[in-house]
Amino acid sequence: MATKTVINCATGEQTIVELTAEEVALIEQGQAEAEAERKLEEAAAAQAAVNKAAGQDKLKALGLTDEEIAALVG
Amino acid sequence: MASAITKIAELNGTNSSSVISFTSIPSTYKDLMFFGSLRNFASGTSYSHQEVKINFNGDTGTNYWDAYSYQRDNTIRYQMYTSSDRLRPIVCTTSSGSTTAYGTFRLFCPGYRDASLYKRFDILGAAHQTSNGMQNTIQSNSGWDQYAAITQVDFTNTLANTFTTDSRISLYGIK
Repeated sequence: MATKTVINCATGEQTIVELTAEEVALIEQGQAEAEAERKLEEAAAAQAAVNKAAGQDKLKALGLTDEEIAALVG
Repeated sequence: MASAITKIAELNGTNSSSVISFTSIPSTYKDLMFFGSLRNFASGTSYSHQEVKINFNGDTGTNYWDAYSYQRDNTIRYQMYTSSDRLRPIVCTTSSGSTTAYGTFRLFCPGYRDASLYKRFDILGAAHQTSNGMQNTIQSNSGWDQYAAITQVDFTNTLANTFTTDSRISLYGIK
């Protein structure tokens, strides 16, 4: 059973309590959201890489050298 | 001259703790600073690092936002989250696999006791991504759009993993 470790900063008292059903539900909700956000982020990054490569290919087709392309787009 | 920075509290994980919570934070300082070094106890997750969410005063409403830039795979990126139910720019590295490094963070909370201002934060997070050997670095300007003085801060491992016993979060007060 997952727990919560708590410190009362006024007294220094430390306690370990079991998570409530509501807290577990919130963590599970966060888990689902984090997973979805991570997939979106990775998909966006992958698409950006594809777009960058395609753009560089087009610049090269126009006659730019690799050094010139790097100076333009990094 | 009295010390300007005072350690208020320090907590370690327990291998079963998904949440590390600081309660009854005294209002005797001007600013707060948290330092953390975190690892996940649970293995078997498909993720190499987990987001650690931050909530204030037990508020899980959509009052939070993050505007952060981060580095991964040799690329600088940016991310904006608005109307969120948490702050999120902290990651926690898994303790399993080939890497046992800590995820680390620093959270600066200026004016935490001022009940006339929304709360703003400066956050720096870093972690090792074991799946591809890359390092993640996150720097964030974040906010909690509430006026209440901060008296409680919760750090929750979002993927229901737990913090190792050598994970530690320290809280300092700055006069």
